Amino acid sequence: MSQLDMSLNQLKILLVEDSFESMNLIRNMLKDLGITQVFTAKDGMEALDLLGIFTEEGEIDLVLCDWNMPRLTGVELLRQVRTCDPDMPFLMITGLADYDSVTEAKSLGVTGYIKKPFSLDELEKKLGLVNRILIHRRKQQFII
Amino acid sequence: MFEWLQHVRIQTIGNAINAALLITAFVVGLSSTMVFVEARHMSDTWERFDKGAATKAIVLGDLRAALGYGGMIHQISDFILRRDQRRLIDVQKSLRGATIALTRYQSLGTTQRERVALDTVNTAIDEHWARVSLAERLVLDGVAAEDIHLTSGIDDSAALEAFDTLEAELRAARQESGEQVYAATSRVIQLLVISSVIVGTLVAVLLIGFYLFTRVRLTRPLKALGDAMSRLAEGDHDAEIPELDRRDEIGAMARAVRIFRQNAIERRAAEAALQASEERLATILEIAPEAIMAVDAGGVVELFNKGAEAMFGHAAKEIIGQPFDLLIPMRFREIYKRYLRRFGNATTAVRMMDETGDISGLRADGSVFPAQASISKIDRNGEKIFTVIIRDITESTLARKRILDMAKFVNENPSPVLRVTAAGQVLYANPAAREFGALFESADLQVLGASLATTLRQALESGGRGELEFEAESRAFTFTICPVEDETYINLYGSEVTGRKQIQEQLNHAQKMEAVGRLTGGIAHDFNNLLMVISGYARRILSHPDDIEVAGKSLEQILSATEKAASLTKQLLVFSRRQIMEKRVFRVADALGEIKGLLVHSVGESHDVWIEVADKKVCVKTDQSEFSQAIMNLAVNARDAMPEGGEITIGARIEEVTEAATWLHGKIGPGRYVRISVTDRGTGIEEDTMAHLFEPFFTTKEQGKGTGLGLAMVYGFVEQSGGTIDVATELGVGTTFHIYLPVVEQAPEVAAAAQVALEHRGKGETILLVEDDDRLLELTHEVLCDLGYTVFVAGNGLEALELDENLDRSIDLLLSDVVMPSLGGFELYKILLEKRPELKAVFISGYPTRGTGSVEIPESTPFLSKPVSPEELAREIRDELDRSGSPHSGRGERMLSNVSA
Repeated sequence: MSQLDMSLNQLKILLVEDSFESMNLIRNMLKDLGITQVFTAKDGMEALDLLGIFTEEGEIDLVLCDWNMPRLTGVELLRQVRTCDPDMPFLMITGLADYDSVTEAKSLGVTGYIKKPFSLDELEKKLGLVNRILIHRRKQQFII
Repeated sequence: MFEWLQHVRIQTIGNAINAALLITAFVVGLSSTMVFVEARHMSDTWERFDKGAATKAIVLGDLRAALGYGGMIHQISDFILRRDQRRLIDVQKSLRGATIALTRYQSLGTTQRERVALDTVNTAIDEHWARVSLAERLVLDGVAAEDIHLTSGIDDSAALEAFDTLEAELRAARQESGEQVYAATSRVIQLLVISSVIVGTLVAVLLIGFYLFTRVRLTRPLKALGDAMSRLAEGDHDAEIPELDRRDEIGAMARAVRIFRQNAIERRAAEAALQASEERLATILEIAPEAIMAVDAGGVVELFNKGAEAMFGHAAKEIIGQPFDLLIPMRFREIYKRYLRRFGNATTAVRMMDETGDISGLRADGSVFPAQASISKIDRNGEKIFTVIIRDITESTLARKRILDMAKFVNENPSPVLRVTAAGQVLYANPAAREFGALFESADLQVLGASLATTLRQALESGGRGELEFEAESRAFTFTICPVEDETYINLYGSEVTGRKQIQEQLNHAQKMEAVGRLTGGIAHDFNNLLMVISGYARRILSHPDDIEVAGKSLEQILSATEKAASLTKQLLVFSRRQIMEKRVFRVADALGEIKGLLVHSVGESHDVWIEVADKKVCVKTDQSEFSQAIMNLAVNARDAMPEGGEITIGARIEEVTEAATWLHGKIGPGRYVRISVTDRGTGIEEDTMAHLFEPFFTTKEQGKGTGLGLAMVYGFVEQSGGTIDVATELGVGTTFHIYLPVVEQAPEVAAAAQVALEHRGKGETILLVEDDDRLLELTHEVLCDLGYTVFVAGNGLEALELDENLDRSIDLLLSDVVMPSLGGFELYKILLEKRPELKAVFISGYPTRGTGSVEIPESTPFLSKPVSPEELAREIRDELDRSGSPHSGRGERMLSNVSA
């Protein structure tokens, strides 16, 4: 974990969350983990707009997305993201979800779930895992 | 005959008149000039006459008077005779006068004849001068008068004749002048007459033309238009407007009149519509069930409709002109007045007087009623008028109270009540349900979600009622699903069944314990027998250490006994694989075959078990271990019904259940079923017992021998499998239990891990299995467990990484699907290798080739293409694990042909 911790704060995260309080909380948690490069969107449409802006490779490392949102739900956002970027790590924050949606999200290629409520440790652990994937990918690019 | 004039434009006529006037002016001018010329001519003639002939006549008179021939001679004679000098002077004077006159005459211009005559006269004058001079001299000389005969012999005839000639000339000249003047005068008169005639004719033609024109073009159409306008003004909108299709001003006026009439017709229609609308409004106002009234700024009622009469019990004539206070209970009067004043000053035009409907009205009989009023204001000539619409809400207030009471009734229900959409969105939840929701939030969502979504959708589609069970935080709920007809939502009426559920679980546990006990008894007996055989033959070898033959035979017996023991444990394992109702497709024949040995042991040696399966391929979909236990339970019951021993027959055959026959079989619908029958030749079941047959804890067995759970379990299993159970019994003859399970047309899913050769089995190694298809994950997991591996499972790459982080022990092999979204199997392997360089891997892919998308699995890495048989899988894993060294160390990076960069 320690060598992962070193680069956690380099993560550029797009946080999608419709609840203002939750967003603030998660942002503060991310800050506690040393992650300051957090872009926020209050629903899926806004997130798509932001992703459209940050299309340059490396601009966004990870999407951290709430499940239930107005306008464009987490699953729908995931579907949109996957059409153009099959590898983008996408963590779904779940509170209440039905089986069909979980199945759908899984078939669409959700990278993982974080179950609400989650502790700082849990968040750190999940981000650490994603970071491990990202570090590996960067290495590969470097080798090739 | 002058109709053509109608088509002549007035401007043309004006031009024609102007032309005629010009011609007239020209003619008048021309004739005036000619008259002027003639007058000048006459004047000249007259002047000539006046200065010539007339002067000449006077001069001639002077001349004649001066000469006065007889007189002249007489004068001279007188002078001679009387010697009177004066006479002589007179004569000389006359002669000088005559000469002057003659000279003057000559200066006036003369004709030849005049000149001749004047010469003659001049000669006569000269002769007279000569005589006078002679007479003077003679007189002076004193010649006697008688001697002087100067006057005799004077011939005056020539002079007289000259005078006649001159007079004749003068007369001729006068006549000539007179004739010229006469001719000029005649011409002037002629000119005047001609020009008068021309001008007169033109004027007459113009006048007649103008008259005709004005009559045809102006007067007549104007009169017609005037008449039409008058009729229009009188309101006769059918008045005929003359068809004046003219491009001139009258035409324009006719068109204007036509437009005017059109406008008048439209206005009349609009007025009629307005009037009708006003009448309608008045009617609406009158028949409106609401009370409608108008109040002026001072609060005086101006309008009071029938609705208001009915509502307040006052007649309109009583109220109109009165202050509206009369309609308001005393205590509200001041408030409402203030309100009206405030509203009057406010900018809004319409306002509900009280949204809650709590305003009050006062009836004529003094009673008060709740009402809703909306009030609007209009400005009429600077004065504000308020229109008030009042609705009596006595009924709706009562209804609302009743509804609130009813709503409270549901709210007070201690059991959860929900209304949800098929998608699971909650439309209503009573407080008990909200409490339940809090539990629900923290429950395992995926499992709950699955049952919820599917069950709700099915319920809404079928319209039938159903049941739904939830467990959350060790509490259990049962919901009755009630789809609401013609709506898209479902009512869920719940009740807490935690207690019941706990008892059920205790039952299941006890039942399991009973089965275990029963099995243990049977198996212990078998094992003891086998151990006895083994130990017996072993002792025999020991007691005959040198007898090879005995040793050989004994070892054969020992081997045979151990094989039997192995078979026994296998069956035990199959039976003991107890899990939560795990439905899968399996062959009934196979399942029965697997438990046959176990059955034989369970029922004991005094009973024969016959298994007869008509169709060996028929499959059902349910939990196989529960199926096995159900058959076991029935078989044990059959044994107990025949304490003296006997035959137990287990049969399986396909049966078509028709629509008509479904009532025979209870809850099942029509379709194909496999009927599994367990038959004994025992005592049969008494009628009293039949009623309680499937009740838990109901037993007819002796104390300590039965728990009364066996049939309850069977019943529960069959119900959950979508089948049914029924019993045929006859006292003293025997009993048959029939289990009906729905036939499925799928191939069996059970992995026949047991058939895998021993050398390909696991040796307790640890495998990390990653597969994103839940069904495959489960199946593969089972196969690997059966093969003897320790297996950790992950549903995707991230879960695998998570496991890797949390796992302290080593992992020998990664068995992973290749194509998984977000993180593929091969990439996952590369990441895992960083921490576990010894990790081996086998990949499975749905694609037939190693290259899928951007990743290609190297040739040296084991790769299986789906579908994979258990044998194939076991062999591949075994081979990879047995391969010496770390097959992928040091070449991972080089082998990677990731081209995604």
